[in-house]
Amino acid sequence: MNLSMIIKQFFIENDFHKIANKTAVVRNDGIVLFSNSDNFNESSSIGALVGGLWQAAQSLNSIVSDRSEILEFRLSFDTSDQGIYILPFNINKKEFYICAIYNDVNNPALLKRHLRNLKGNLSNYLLEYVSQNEDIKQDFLFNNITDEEMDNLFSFSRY
Amino acid sequence: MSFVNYHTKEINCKIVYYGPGLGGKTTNIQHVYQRTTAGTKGQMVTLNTENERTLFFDFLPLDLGTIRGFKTRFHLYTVPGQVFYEASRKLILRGVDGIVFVADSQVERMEDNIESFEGLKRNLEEQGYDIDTLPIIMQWNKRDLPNTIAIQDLESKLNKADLPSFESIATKGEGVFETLKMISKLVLLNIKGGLDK
Repeated sequence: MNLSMIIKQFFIENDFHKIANKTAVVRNDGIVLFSNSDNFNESSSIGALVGGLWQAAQSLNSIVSDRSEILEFRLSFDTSDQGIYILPFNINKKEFYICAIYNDVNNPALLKRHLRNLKGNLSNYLLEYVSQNEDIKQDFLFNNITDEEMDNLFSFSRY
Repeated sequence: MSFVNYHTKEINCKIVYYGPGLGGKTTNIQHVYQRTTAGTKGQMVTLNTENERTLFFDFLPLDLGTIRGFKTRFHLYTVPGQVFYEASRKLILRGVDGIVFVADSQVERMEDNIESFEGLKRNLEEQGYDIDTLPIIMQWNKRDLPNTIAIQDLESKLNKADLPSFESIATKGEGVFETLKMISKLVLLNIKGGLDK
């Protein structure tokens, strides 16, 4: 099983996917590893924007402080009942973000506390998994791809 | 860095369109968006300035077909081309799997092309990429304009590594999909992972 499946299993087993309207776990390059949205395109947009948002905030902060590496940040954009809350975590020196996008929530502080707990539990869960399964494949996935296969892949376009 | 999910048999890859300001990066992915059937594309995300210049990035998720049982998903990004957005460009290059360098063919933009390409190499090296192994395609855009530089000159000044290159007129869609298809192929061939036995 890969990281994406493990995270999904973690969320479903613990019913955490219902924590907010939209909950996602995103790699720092914007790739979504988990989302409670069934819509792939919506999830992709969330991933790109969360990755960009965090990195932009990090760069802004570095203008006034060079301690970013040793501090634990969180990113919040909210009103009293809706908003976005993003938390980073690291697995094997790789950065991931867990994100909640919520609306019409009576107690956002409680939601944020849940997300912080969830982040801790998830990173422990993943650390255990990753340390047991560090099988990095070095072979190429495809040794050759024919022009016909590429034509088939691009048959969706009307060009 | 691409992401391969063996369980669901999905491949996710990130392609970045890089190049000088007003060179046609956004036009490239707008054309892809317009010419793609509804079920294949996601919503195009654009973070623009008031005068419709790219402020942070454009983003277009593409859910392509299946190759050898793997569902392929490409995430297309553009960087802001204007010189003072260097910090944003660095961020967007994180995790990149392939690059399309969109050069403006007009004679007077040659210095901008060179500056942008040098910036690309610098930014990739800073992030630990080996530019000799990362898939990069050169696109010579705006070939329909009257004051274009000769292809040989573009090749000799910008493409010393002899990377694959395409001529294009992105506003008319010419060369756009050809470029995308080639970078997609190179990116797929570059994915490390090996097939599960």
